Amino acid sequence: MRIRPFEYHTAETIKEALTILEKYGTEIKVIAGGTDLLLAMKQKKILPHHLLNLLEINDLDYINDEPSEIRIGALAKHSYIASHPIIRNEATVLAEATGMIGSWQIRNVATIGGNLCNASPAADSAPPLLALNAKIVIADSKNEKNLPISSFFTGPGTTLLEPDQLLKEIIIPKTKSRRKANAYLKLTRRRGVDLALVGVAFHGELDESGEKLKNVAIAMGGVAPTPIRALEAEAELTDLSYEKAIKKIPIAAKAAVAATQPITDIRATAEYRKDIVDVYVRRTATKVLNILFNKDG
Amino acid sequence: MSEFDIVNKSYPQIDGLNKATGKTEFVSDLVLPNMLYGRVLRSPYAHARIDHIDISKAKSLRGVKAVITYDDTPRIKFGPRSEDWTILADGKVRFYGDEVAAVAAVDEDIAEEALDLIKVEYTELPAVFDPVEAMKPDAPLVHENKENNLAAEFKIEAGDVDQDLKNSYFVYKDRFYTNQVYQAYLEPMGALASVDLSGRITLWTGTQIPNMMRITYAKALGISLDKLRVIVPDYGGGFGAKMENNVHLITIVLAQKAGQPVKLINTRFDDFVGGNPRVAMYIDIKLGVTKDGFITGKDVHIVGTNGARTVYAPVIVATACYRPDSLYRFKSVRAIGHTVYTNTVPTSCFRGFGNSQMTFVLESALDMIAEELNIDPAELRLKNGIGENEVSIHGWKITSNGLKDCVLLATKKANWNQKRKKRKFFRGIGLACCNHVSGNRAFAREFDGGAGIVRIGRDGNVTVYYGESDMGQGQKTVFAQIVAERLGVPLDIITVEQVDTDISPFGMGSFATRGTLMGGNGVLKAAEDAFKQLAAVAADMLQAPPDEVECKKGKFFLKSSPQKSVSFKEVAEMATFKRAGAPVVGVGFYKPPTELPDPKTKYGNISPAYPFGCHIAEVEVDPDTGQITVTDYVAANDIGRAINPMAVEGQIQGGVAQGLGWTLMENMALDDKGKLINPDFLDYVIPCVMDVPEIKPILVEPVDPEGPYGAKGIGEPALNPVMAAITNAIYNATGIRIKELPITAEKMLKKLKEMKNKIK
Ligand SMILES: Cc1cc2nc3c(=O)[nH]c(=O)nc-3n(C[C@H](O)[C@H](O)[C@H](O)COP(=O)(O)OP(=O)(O)OC[C@H]3O[C@@H](n4cnc5c(N)ncnc54)[C@H](O)[C@@H]3O)c2cc1C
Repeated sequence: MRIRPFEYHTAETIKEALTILEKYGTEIKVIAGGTDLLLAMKQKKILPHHLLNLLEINDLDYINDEPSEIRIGALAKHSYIASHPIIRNEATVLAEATGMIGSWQIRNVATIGGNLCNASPAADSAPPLLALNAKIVIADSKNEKNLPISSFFTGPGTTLLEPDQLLKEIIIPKTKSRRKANAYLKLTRRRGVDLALVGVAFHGELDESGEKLKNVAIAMGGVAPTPIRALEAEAELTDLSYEKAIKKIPIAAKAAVAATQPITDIRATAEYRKDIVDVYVRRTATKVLNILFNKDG
Repeated sequence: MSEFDIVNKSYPQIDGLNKATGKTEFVSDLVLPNMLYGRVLRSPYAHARIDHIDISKAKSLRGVKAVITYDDTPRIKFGPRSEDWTILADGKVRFYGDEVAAVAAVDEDIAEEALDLIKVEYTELPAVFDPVEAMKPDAPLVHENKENNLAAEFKIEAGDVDQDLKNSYFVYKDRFYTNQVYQAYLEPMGALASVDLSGRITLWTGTQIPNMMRITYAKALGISLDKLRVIVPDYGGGFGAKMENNVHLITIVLAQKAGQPVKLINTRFDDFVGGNPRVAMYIDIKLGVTKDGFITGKDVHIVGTNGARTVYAPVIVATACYRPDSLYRFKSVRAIGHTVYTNTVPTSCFRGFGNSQMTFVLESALDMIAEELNIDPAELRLKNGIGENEVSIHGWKITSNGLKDCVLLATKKANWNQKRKKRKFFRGIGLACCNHVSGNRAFAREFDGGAGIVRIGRDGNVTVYYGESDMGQGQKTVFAQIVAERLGVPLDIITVEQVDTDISPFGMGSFATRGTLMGGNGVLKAAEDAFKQLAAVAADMLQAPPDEVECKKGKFFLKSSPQKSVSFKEVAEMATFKRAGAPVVGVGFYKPPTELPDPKTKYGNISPAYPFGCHIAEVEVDPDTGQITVTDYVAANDIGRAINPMAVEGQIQGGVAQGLGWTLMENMALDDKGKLINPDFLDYVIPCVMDVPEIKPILVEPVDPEGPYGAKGIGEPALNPVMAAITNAIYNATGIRIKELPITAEKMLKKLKEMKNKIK
């Protein structure tokens, strides 16, 4: 389990990084925290001839609070995100999810960009970002573009990114609702340092009247080739009052289960993953509804 | 106030600071000049014929110094218990991970690259992985000459079981399965080997049995014993696994072939597929009781997985057959144990040594019986528990015995009575007891016991040599405390040397929870000898008869007039001068009053002392996800007098955490081709700190007549009751008894659903 020799590059600006990427194309991989990449290299799943270190790039690990959005640099570490007051207030679900990644040691070195670009179907930061309708900014040496995160993942371990592109930042739009709440639940085999067998993020908001649910978003990890949204389940709950929504939760949960296509592997059977989606949608939905409507549940 | 200065007091491990600060040199850290790095090529098939091996490309890779296959080894059949080993595969591989070839190179990268260049052609053969399947007449044979794949059969019988079961008011019958688990020590197995010009080999390795291993290895290498020296540096844990393993011998053959020292440390993958994991067992039990709860007869049949060659599985299955028979007053017992070859990794010792497997079964059965009879499970144990100064059904002489106190104190601390009465949904509390040994004469056949050497030089510093093995459990600290107490000196002038077969006593090793009692008695006797020599010199200096002098806190003084004193250092210096420079060397040994069990009846007292325990677990089960949380844990263990209470607590907490992992999550999973699919800590899940509740140890300390300062052992009984304590608590919480370990959340949910459907 040794790492094969490679040539090491480092960049101090994004521009420099993108130039190097353009030069080496498929021969090069970028490395941020390395907590996914180095493992894959040890296991010989990938054997890049060149590595480009991103961590020396100045100021790409920010969390910026702007009037209509929050911007997170791709190099922001999970421990920083999980404890950041803006994230904790404005995007609780992301703080919860990143706070559950690996261990303290992992969260102190691993980046959100790496988590997304590694594109594990179970990546913990993905369901919250999907539920929050986040956008991502992709850069190459010629330009920058802005895409909804829902279009980013293309399969297990694959994304839209071309070899000469970088994920630069993540944008979480701020909604103008009177009230919003969200929550994340993650199924693991033990209580720490484990991947998500299933991850469920639930987001909801109150409409202007303060009586009905709107902008419901349910996103799930570990249950399909990519992290996914459960659009039909969301529709089941949209525009409902508290009482009606609470009653409707089991049906929404079933609809969420129907949106999944989990696999059976050593970690869990497909059937168990579906059972857990059902439970976790019910639990996160109940929690979020109780917060939104000020009920103690 | 304790009657002791050093013993029975909590001290941090004497090597703790070095370990915590990274200063300790473990086996993996050792480096010799010109040292090469070794790697093993392992079989990708569970069973296959080797048609051809081409090593030419690997040999010509720059930096490669040796490539070996079976033909480069002495080609001797050997094994610690059965001669079914060869150093590398001889024409056939028998498990996924079997050793096929090995290389030594100037660095690890080249060694690994060379492995890829060895081309092996195989023809796959039909394989068998389950021991019950393997016993069937048409099963593929793992070894052509082993009919029905039987590695060993063990039978034991005492009393009339058939009659007793017939006359019982109730007989509980069931089949249990304990799965294969990995010891998950911090440092993988491995060794450093060096060969001198005369051909004499020095092997540095983390081994629990340096002397016994040396005998097996000398045979394997076709050399006389004196040609092999084994040194045991600090090493990162063992839990039973670190006994004989081919990786050490491969290291030696590589060093011989290369003419340079070779270090070969398993990668974690190699260690998972080529280590010595726990013996998986199918256990059928029939257990009878009278109407008022007295155990009558017990009838057991065990089928255990040997793996593809025999390490110690047969003795482990034998132990499962009868060890807990000395926990209660059985009228009659019978057991048959079959140890069966399979195309899987060879299995061996793991904390509990078969007793843990059987304790899980027996204590589960008792729980069911308690329910059937409507007796409190604690009361059932108290009613049947063997007492002080009793002889068990197999002739074990139980002397000190704190079983009853363990049950009483644990139930009190856990608030057992109240909690059993007040049932809460999906919360439960469960209890289990255990016994064990402090040394096992049936395993150490030539002799049993322990010995020590205590050397005091001119400077007055004390060096202790022992023959067991400290893998991190704290033997060195305990031995230092025993010697310091006996000499009457402070702990910090004592050094405990690594075991070196050229210097140290011939110790049997660290297994069977024997270290503290056997090795501890050995160094105690040596300290006594040294003390006598020093006391004679001190007496001269103080102008008094030797039996008038005593030593405390590093000062010799007269019992009658303590103000007349001379320091330990001065006495040591005087002793050295008087003997023209010779240090004071105390030598001593302890021979336990044990018996080799009768070969037929297995009757005989196998250990000088027997520890006991009672553990209570509380659990919470999530009815929707099946997740099980152990919320509270009380562990009462009878350990004789604790030499170091803090170290005992550490052992208990570690044992409970390890048992918790086995019960709830750990499993070595094979695919349908016999390939281990989770050879890493990503998917071989062991508990992390958040899975383990606060474990509340209770030390029950009846002074044992044989133990050093009254101490018995703790290593294994710390784990033995855990599986049943937790599963009994799960039963209490849910009414569901899962009889196959581990009880994962998914398994639990499946059973909960089945139950719900039944109720509907
Ligand atoms: C012990 C352990 C526990 C873990 N637990 C969890 C867990 O609970 N949940 C979880 O989701 N993950 C977990 N992981 C996986 C991993 O830590 C995370 O996915 C982490 O966020 C990866 O970030 P990184 O910075 O280390 O990425 P790296 O390993 O550096 O990179 C990962 C991949 O992304 C690419 N990449 C990185 N940054 C960029 C960028 N800005 N633009 C383009 N490509 C980029 C790299 O080329 C590489 O292919 C765990 C890993 C370990 C070792």
